[in-house]
Amino acid sequence: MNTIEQQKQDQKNTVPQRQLRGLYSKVNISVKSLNIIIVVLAAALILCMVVGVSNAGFTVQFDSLGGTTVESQKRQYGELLEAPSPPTREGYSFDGWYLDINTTRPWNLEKDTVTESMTLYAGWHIL
Amino acid sequence: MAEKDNLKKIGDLLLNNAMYIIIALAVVYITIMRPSFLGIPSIVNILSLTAAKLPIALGIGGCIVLTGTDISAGRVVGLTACISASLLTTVFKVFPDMSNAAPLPLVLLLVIGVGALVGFVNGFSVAKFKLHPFIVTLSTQLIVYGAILMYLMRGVNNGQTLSGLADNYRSFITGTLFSIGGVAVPKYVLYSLILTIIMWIIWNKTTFGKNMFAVGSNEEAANVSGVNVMRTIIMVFMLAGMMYGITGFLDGARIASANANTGLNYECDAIAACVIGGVSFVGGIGRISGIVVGVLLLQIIFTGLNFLAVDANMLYIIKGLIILIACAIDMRKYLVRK
Repeated sequence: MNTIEQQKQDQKNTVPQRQLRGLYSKVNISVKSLNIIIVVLAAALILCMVVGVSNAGFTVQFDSLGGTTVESQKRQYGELLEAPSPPTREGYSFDGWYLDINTTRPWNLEKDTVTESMTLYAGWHIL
Repeated sequence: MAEKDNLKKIGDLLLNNAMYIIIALAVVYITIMRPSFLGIPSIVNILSLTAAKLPIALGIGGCIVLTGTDISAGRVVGLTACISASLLTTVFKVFPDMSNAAPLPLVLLLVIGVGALVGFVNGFSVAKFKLHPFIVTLSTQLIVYGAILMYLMRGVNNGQTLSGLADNYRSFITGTLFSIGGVAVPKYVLYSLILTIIMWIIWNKTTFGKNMFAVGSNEEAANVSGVNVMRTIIMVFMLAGMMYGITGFLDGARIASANANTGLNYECDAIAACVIGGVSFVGGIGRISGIVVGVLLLQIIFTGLNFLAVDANMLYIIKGLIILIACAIDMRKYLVRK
């Protein structure tokens, strides 16, 4: 008897939850589960940022386009590249590094700073 | 009891603003690690990039208010950027017969028209056939991408990146508006501001804007009360398309080139910005000011992470998580509202 009354009381106390509309109209979720989801996802987001920051650094690769291999460098935002020893290629002379494979936009090793991961391409002149 | 209520209130506050809190913490951390993040060049950079990404978000915002979405946005930006870059150039590879750059206003009208056309196709299919916007805009996205690739194969261009843009086109968009401490603020910031004001008036002061919110919160009720639902939906998508056209026009000159990848994934950023800014997927809820804040916050966090040299691959994962959290908070806000 007592328990039935209690159940009735409980039913009165629980206000029916609003029904989600729009793109969420098929979603059936309680505020409590949403709270947990938000906290978990926020933790995951912070974790990703921490992992991202601890592995920070942009990788700059050098594609010598047929010349001798040049090792890639890891740099932080706004840093200069360390001038790599110029590659060599038989029958050609090296004339610097370029941002694009068609060697139209040169990279100035003394001035240009790294702001993203990228590949630099070697420029060659036929001897 | 009162203490419990207070705790609940604090909990509500923390959860509803979880995203802003995380971003604020990140900004504090970034500023400590790299003080130049709050320097004038960096702030101008953030503001300019926000301005560049604002028009597309303002367009997509309307589609989200209608409980829809628009995933064709990025490709429309790409197509209109390619059209602008091919006509306002000094090397006419797409149209080898041309010798002079087309007049600026004409090209602007053309790209707005192209955007509106794609928007019309989207809106008409959604309104007339009651198709879900996701399906419709997915197909227009692919169709537009095909169009971009074919367009870039025209003439003697052979699918290459379009560059060598006309000087008047570049200076009209990236020219200096004014300088703060020796750092130039580009002109497109002003254009973006004007577009924001226009969109604010459309959303808040016109019958069309009120109809849009009415259709978004309850289509049947809007229909019963005499709103032309079909026309409203078509107009929202067309307006969005025009915004993408303008974004493409700005982006061509801003990046100084255009290719098949221009505009890729722009819609993801725009949708994320809208949801962070409180434009709800529930429908019929959203404000222009929210969209501006959303775009700005996203830009701040991603410029900041770039400052910390976080790998671009990780940024995609972070972006995805941000969208999920924003949606969860969006649902929660709707459920707890009395």
